Amino acid sequence: MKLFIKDIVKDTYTNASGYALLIALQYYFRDGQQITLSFKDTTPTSTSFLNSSVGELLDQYGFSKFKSLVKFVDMTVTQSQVLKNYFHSGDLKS
Amino acid sequence: MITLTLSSRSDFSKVFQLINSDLSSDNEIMYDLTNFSFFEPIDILLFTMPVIYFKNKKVLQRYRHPLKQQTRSYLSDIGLFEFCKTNFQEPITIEEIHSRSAMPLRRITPVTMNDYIFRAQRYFSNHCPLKDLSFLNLTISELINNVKDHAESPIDAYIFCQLYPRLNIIKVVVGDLGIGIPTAVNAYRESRKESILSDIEAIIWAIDQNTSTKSHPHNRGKGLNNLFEFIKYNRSIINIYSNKGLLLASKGRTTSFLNNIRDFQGTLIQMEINIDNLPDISNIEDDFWEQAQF
Repeated sequence: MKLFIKDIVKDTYTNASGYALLIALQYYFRDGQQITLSFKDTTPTSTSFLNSSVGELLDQYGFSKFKSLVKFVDMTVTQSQVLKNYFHSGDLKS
Repeated sequence: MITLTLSSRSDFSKVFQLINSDLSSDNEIMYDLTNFSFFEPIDILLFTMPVIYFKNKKVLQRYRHPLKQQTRSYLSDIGLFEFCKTNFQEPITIEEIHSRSAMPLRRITPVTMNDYIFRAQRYFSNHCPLKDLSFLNLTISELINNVKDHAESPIDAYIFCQLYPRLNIIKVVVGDLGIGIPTAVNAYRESRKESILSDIEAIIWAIDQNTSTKSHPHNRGKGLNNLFEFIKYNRSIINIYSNKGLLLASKGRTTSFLNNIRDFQGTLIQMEINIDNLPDISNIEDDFWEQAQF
């Protein structure tokens, strides 16, 4: 399933928007479905946004499961760097 | 009437001393800016935040404007005194200041920051259409979210941004008069029965990638660290004033000092984004997991 972040949230800065993305992604995680998450035409993701979305999924399912289910595409260099920083700084549970 | 003569940044100590003295509303303050010759964005917030603070306390305030015509014009163009007079609770209007390549001084929260970020990116991208200004968005959102999550500021957060075309840098400054990073860090450490840190040590602790005060359930920290990582790649500069600490990170080197604005309470962060070092707008990375080498 390919999901476009821009279709799910109105911004990528706040906890509230991060939570909206979490709700959308959880649906597929529960079923173990793979997701291709497109950053096309989105702004960079703030830490608050990531904490409420990706961070919650990492807590619930662990890093290995997350990596196996989510593929990030259409990212700019900055968006990619933000996510790299986020994963590098987290306590990644396998 | 209390006259505060301000001619350089360190003179703002006098203003913060007054804040700490719990001034009553029957007093009157005269800000004498006669000899203040050059305001950086950070000075704009150092001036604005106490004025708003005292305005909320119904203290009458007057200004003696700078003697230097150039400085007077600058303050007039950016609408400093007009802004302080109106004291908007929300950024009702956001209009770019073309004469100074600046985005206006505004009070914002996470709820109202989207419009400011959108307009700032659109405005500054006119000056550098091929560059990816995402780092600007990120800077503003991280700093405003930090104020909301940690600062307990009585006046929310204030922001001002200006492009310096000859230097090709954008200065973004966000400030608050909250509890300050050191207080938040030490309250957290105290709750975990860990030793109390000096203000400078506490700021260094806060930018470490594996630490956070986790002041809310959703908050895992990393916001400041995220900005620090970008400063390294982008060779930009960040100044963090928080309570008695001052931390300067420039081109990968971090230096800390005692804050020369004595009695400062709150946090003031100025980021200098080096436009030349931002990535081009067209760069798209393909396989994230492979590129990131996880």
